[in-house]
Amino acid sequence: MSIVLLKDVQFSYGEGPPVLEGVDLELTRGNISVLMGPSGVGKTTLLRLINLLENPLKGGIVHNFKELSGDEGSDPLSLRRKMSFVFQEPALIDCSVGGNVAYGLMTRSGFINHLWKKTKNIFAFLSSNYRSVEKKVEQALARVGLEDYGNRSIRALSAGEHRRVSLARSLVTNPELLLLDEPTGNLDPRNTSIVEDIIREVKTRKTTVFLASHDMHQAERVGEEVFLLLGGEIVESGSAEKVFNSPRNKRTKDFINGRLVY
Amino acid sequence: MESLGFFFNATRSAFDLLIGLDPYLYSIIGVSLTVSFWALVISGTFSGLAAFIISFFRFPGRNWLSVLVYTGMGLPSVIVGLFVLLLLSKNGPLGGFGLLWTPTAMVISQTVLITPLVTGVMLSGLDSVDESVVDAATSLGANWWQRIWTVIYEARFSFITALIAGFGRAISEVGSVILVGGNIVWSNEVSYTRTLTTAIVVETRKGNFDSALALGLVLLTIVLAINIVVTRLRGSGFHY
Repeated sequence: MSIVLLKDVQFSYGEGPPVLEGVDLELTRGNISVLMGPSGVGKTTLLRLINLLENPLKGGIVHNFKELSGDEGSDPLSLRRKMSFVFQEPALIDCSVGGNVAYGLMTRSGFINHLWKKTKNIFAFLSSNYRSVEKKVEQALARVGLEDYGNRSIRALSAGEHRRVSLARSLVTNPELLLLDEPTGNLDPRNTSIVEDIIREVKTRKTTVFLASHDMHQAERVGEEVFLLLGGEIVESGSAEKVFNSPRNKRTKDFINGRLVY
Repeated sequence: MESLGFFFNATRSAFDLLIGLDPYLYSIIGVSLTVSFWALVISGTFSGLAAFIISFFRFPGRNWLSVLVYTGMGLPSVIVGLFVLLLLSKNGPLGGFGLLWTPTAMVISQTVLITPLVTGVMLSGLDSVDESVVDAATSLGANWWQRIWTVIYEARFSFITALIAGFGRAISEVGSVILVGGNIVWSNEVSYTRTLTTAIVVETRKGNFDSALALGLVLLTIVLAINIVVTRLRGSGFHY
């Protein structure tokens, strides 16, 4: 059962050269899938297309989310609210950690208060579900190991903590599909293993994970299904074991052996 | 040494004027603050709307409009004064209202003067919000209004900067207020349209350099006090 299906997706930025030239891809519900490929090959673009931040030039993307009625099934906003996207750069909003984590919950309840926590006494009456938001934020922060960080300003945090806040912000809405773009790029080994543990934990909550990474070892560690994007196409796909041990494509072999020239 | 003594005397007479609750001085300060305040309120409202529209909507002539705004940031105040003077003079299109040489005329000219500046600073603040934050908001399920609100929130400091800059320009400006206000003082030594800046011009022309300097110090003190208050606001509650 697929959660996202891409059929012959083509894309380029403006008049620029084509980035994706006919991508076919099927994400299996409940899996941790890894999108591999060298830098600049279009991994981020592919994730942005799935998250409906870009529109394909050609081809189609079908999302199979639960609990979406007919109209909502084609509405980008409703579809987006079923998934979460953790960007390569955390792109946090300049407010508290709690305010960032609460953001996705607040967009869904229709009211955004960036001064969340600090002004809770003034704004609480506006948000009837304030208590439940607060509880969910605390739980999400606990999941990424940042208990009691809710009141801190994001300016006072390290890069690794920024990454974890951005993860918590995406987890708090319990998405059906979690998109991660190089979630451990630039992180030290300790933070990398924290993030990978979170990814495994997310899977146990029936969230499908799709992560882009140029790190093959990471793909091997966490991936159940692996896709290799080269030259604008998916050249290899299958279980991690199969792709790494007996790749069909010669370029896959070269990529795995680190000999690929691109 | 003599010049140092001169500055010392000016500071002392500025202090004496303020402490002595001189009604003439306080009426001048009152006119200065009132006129600048209303110009700021009107311009701030209008500029906020204008910056919002230019930044968030795509329409023909949008680029020209922003070029116009940025050009207007350097608008010479005398030209604005002349323009408003012609507009409000007896034979001008708005002459019937009899607004010339009233504080209202000063508010109008100052509003015209500072609006491009306030709009420009707000606009550059909105435009410099990182695209990645907008993407993040979209991806987190924000609708159009929620996205806009987030951009405005990210640009909040530039809004404060815009208002401070606008107020500073308004209260320190002399060219247009003297043209459309007329620098009027009632016979009982109470200012009607005389501001701190125009009073400095008068005192200088009379050769009363120390009172001119004293008025200058009063003006600077007011601007400084307002900036301290705003910076403190920014530093505590807002800077969250």
